[in-house]
Amino acid sequence: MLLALDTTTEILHLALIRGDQVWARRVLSGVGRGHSERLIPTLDELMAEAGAAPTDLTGVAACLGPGGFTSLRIGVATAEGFGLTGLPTWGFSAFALRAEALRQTGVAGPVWILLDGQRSEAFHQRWVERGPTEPAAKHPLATLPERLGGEPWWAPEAFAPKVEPLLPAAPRLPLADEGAATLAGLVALARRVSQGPSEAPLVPFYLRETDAEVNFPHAAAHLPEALRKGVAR
Amino acid sequence: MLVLGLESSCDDCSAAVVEETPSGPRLRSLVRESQDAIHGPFGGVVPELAAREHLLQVRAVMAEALAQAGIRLQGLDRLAVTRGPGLVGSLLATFSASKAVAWRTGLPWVGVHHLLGHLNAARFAAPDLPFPALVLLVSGGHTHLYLAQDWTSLQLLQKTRDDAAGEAFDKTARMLNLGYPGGPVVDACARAAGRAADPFTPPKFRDGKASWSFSGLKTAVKLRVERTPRLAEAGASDPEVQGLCRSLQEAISSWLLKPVPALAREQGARSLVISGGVACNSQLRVDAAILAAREGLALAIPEPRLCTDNGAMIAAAGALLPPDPAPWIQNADADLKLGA
Repeated sequence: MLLALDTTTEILHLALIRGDQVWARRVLSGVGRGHSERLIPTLDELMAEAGAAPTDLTGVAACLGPGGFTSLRIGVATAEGFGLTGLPTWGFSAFALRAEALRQTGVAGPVWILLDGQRSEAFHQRWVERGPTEPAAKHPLATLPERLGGEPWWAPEAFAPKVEPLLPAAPRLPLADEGAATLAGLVALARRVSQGPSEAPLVPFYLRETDAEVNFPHAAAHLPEALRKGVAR
Repeated sequence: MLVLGLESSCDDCSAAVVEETPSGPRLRSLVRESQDAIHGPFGGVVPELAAREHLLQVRAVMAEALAQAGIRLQGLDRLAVTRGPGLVGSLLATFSASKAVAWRTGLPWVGVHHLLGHLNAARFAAPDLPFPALVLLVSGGHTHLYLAQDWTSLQLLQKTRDDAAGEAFDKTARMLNLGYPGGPVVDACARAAGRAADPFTPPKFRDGKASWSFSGLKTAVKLRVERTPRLAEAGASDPEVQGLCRSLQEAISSWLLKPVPALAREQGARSLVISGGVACNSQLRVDAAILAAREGLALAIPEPRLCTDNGAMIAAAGALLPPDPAPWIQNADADLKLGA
């Protein structure tokens, strides 16, 4: 039984996958530490519905970001704990998760996936059917019209209102049921990544460096990529 | 009882296996992944970097502690993890991972107050310590004096009104360009000194409240370095730098210990525990031994590797606390109160 989880936003997405069967849940935990209190109780609920026990788990696939730093770390640290118990672990990016959710509803792309980068910035990546066409990046919201060049875009419900007024010429792709699509994407993506080699440790993809690096670049010269923007995927 | 103890409240990611026996805790393994090299160039701990690094280390640190002890997860009886206080991003690394481990394995789980951990670090070498005890917890984040009636309770008697004592070591090391963290480098410099520089004047409090203050000491060092600018670049082998370090740590040690005799008598204390990173300081250890002998107090200062933050002290405290019946709904707490 595979566990798939995403704690990168204020909404906790969890799914248990056994063959063709899926038990999934979407819980509004709030940004930051809320996931810490909701993650395992929600997992317990899903386990009860599946009639399964913790020992039935066979692997964990986790979203590694970008997203809220503390939020995403709660999910990844939980996966790391499961890893210690002998479970293989896999990771995927928040862009891959959103692209998969769109694909589940028939959107093939090209589409720009825009995520909330905070501080009037967007994390963005352009996707077509076969995958991303460029590395994920972070830029001020004001530069989006030029970057998108009128191509369709999608952003989570909580973030879309911040970018929509800036992009009158680019069509916003709607997701009628974002929650259901995200869970379907989570399941499909977890199934796929778990066919590949497992990863340990899971290395987050923050896409935003720490303020310390911005403010003291000379003192940050020694930092590895994993401590800067995290490892891109 | 075998306990895996986990600690990541600041910049050390640590795990340890401790065997709780009728004659006290025994250390079976201790792994500590220091982040000094990461934070050193910044001159202090960068919380977000600490959290990021903890997450990269947490699985390997836990696995290594088990491997060194020659124990599998299933062989453990309990998991103990720091719940707070500390940097929340840092805390959450071991906290979240430990909950996942407990849930999957069914192992009992207990969340531990970081300061109860520091108290229990003393239990390894002094399991039969007579109580009540005065407990001086002193580090880069704490300068607190408690009364303990046993190994699981701490009642605050006095604390610093501004900086922690460890902060004075770090900032002095920074002003003198001696490296990071400040405690060990200032100590080494002070021990090499032929003689101490002029003593520092202890602060006086108009409100008469029993407490410490170390921010003035930081300023005093700054003024001396401004008066003799070459000190900032002179290095650890310079006699004047050494003398300044000596008088700094003489001041810190004597100020820290000053309230102990009167409070020991007032509280009927039978022993003195000193723990936390600053308890590694050689001057403080010597001065405390003299004071304890003079006052008839049993003295317990953990060995240096158990003074700084470590998983063993959390395991030792966790062995004495009741496991949490519902760990899943617990959260790390940056401002965790004692007794909460």
